[in-house]
Amino acid sequence: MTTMPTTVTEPDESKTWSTVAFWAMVLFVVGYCGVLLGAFAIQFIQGEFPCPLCMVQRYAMILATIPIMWIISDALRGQLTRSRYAQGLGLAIIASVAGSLESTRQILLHIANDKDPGYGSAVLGLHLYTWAWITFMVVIVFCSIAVAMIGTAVPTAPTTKNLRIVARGILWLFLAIVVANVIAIFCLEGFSGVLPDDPSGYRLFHELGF
Amino acid sequence: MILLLVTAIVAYRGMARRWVIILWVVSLVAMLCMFKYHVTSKLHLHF
Repeated sequence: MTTMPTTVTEPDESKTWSTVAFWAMVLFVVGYCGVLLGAFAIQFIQGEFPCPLCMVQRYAMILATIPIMWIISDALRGQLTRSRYAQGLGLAIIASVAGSLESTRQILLHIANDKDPGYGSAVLGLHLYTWAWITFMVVIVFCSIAVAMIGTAVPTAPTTKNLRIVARGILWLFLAIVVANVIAIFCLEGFSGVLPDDPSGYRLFHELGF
Repeated sequence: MILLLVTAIVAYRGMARRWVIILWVVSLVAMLCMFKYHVTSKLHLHF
């Protein structure tokens, strides 16, 4: 009598694809760092204050990036397992779905009224919440491809010291952006802890008498 | 936002998987509650 195998063996991992997967994860973090820095540029250089819905979309972007940072961090320590990689990608997809719902609500809010010009200025013809929706869709597709390739590639960190410093530096950049967001939101909300629907300044400075 | 920062630091430091996931889920729920709090108007759209 022949016995059926109880487990299915994974195909051999490709070293090249595992390296590509690692740098793709780093690129993901770089991408969202760029988006969040762009939002800061519009806030501080153009003087446009983020509305509450804009802020929750920033939260969703950070929530989507944290699991990817977790993957990179574990890969750098040599502790990344296939299951943890899958878990991280799944969390990033969930955060992106939540973020896309928030973006969709804001897009529809401005579409519903014909005379509504939209919130804030447009970048390359699209408002920031529309760009946010596009980034969430890109993340969902990106993570789905990574999940589809999970049998072939699990991110492997480089062994070269300089490349490891680059990867770690990008994680530090992301953490610095999260800290900057904490400070910015505190300045916008003041001691009330809630953003006004249409913010026109930094409430904290007014409350402190500046 | 501070919750997000704590979650990010916990993930970066590679603490136990359980803690990262619990903090991440709590952050997600907090974000969705904030979204619900700020969405007050009803959209008059028909699909």
